[in-house]
Amino acid sequence: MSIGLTFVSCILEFYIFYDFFKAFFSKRAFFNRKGTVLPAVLLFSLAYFGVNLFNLAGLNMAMFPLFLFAFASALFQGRIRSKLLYILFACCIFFGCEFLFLVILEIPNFILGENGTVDLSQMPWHLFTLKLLTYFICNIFKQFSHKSETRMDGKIFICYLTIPLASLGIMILTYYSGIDFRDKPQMQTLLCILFALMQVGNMIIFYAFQRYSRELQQNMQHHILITEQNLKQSHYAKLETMHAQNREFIHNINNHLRTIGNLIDDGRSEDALKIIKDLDIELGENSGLIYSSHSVLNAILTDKNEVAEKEKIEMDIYVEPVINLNGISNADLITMLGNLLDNALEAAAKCSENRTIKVRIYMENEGNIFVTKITNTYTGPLRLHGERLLTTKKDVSLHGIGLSSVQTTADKYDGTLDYFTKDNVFTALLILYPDT
Amino acid sequence: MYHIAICDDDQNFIDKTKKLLLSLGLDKDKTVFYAYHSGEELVQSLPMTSQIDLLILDIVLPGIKGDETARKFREYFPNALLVFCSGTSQPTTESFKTTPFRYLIKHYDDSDLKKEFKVIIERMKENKSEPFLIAHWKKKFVRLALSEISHISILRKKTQIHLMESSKHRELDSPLICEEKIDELYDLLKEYDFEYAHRSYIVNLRYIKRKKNTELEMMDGTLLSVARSKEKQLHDSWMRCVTLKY
Repeated sequence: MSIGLTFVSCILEFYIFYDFFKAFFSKRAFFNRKGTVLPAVLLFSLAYFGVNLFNLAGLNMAMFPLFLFAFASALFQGRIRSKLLYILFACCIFFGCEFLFLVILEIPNFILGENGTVDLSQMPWHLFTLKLLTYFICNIFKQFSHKSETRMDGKIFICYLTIPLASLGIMILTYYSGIDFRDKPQMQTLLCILFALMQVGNMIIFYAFQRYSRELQQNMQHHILITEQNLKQSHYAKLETMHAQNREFIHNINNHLRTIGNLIDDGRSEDALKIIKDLDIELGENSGLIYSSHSVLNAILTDKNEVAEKEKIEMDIYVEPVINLNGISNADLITMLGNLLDNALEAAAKCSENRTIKVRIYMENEGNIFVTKITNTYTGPLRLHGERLLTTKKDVSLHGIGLSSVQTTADKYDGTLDYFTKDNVFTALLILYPDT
Repeated sequence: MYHIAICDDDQNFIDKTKKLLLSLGLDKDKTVFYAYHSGEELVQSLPMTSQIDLLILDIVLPGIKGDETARKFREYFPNALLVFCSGTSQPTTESFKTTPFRYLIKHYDDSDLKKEFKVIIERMKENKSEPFLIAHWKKKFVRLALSEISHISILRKKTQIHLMESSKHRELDSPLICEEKIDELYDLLKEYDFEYAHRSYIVNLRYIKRKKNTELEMMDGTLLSVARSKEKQLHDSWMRCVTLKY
């Protein structure tokens, strides 16, 4: 019976953990399919149950976070750092509930074995009550859920880590320090209250962390929104300039045509040709301001082209006249194209000669696929981590700027970002699937 | 022999384009030009025309507009290369369905036009050299262009061809069977944008609507799962395929 209960306890723990994590992280695509989660829960429960069979409290306690980490890594997407923090909070809940329960039930008096483990067979209903309490507290934590890509820098991460870590340590030490409260009911009550307060404190810290990351993200969104508005404004200003130039051109063309007519009448065809040639140049100067009828796309390209001109980088841009960007938000478009072009500009600017960027934006497969292909020259070695390219910018997480944010944003649309390099030419290929 | 149609109400543009195409290495004796001055003229001639490899079509035409003309043209010549050209007018998203290869602006200068036409001619030649598949249908032979095929799957020791909705052979009710094994077909078709998604089927990369790591949605709505062992190879080929256009 004891073995059976231990196994059930493992299953419940992994299920509660899964339910808790689900509120904060997105599942990997594979685990969105029906009937995939339960086998995974069972598999991990079985493995952890195997560890439990050794009957060593220290081993159980050490292995539990490791199993949770393996479980979270297998089932959920997200950054390792964020996962670690959430696992720590989860451990706090799990262990905190257990300690609280043990103290309330005065379990040290009659159940704790010599090896420090609890014989569950003697308390089956208590076990389920305990799991219910854990589930209940997890659900309270879940109320703060804000499923998002939490961003934080290293220092803030450590700040948030200290309190759950300290709580966990105090709980473990208090319990295993061998203090016997049998004859001290006041101490026991006080300990219960303090443990409960510690849990509440952790909840508050957790809430603060959630709130902080949400606000950080909101700030970033505001920043993107402002950038978007600036880009739009600059686009409309450029359109206005172009219209003014066109109006002037149309106004002048009558005079030019009249002059050309007069010159031809007089047989001065060479002079007439010269004027036509000048007009051609004027026309050439007028064109090229508009890359696309999509105002935000055009604004991004115009903006980056200006930077390229300042940096003396030759930028060749072509956007197919029919582009479908349905379902892709302007903010995300700015994040993706802005970052890709910034990277291209940064890399090309480092070249002493042949500073070129080529941008091709087009639709493929009957308008179902939006393709952005950016090639640029670069110099020096590329910083690669596995298949990922590392940015040279500092504090990427706070600014949200960099290739990883392009990838994260593309992920939202099931899109992909790939890199290729050949003969000192770097190619970034962004593929998105707009609504059709 | 290359059959090139130019449909534009501006005879000067037709003449200029012909001259430009011939200057880019097309043999005068092996190239036939057809000139049309309106959408109606082109559409009316379609039933009598046996072959067109390239159509250069003005978007703004008197009568039937370019988009509509292109749609009708595609009913007869689904595999031909289509190039839209215009002065200032913008094509619409309707044009996606007619799979134009390029959108040219008439006032491009000669060097830009030459650059574009060079690529267009190369693609036209590639299209022309694409092989056909011979499949069986009720004891008859059917000649299939690669652009009609969505994917090919194993059927016992042979292969079954799955057609696109736009294929003119789509109405054939029983399965189209090919005698070749799947690996033999793959060897033949891999350079024409076909790739394994699973060891039991190869897909036409040009007809993928949405690609995820584990699943492909084809344009006809078919969902195909991607084998883990084929993920990387499929992804690399897919990347190569979508980067070819420019």
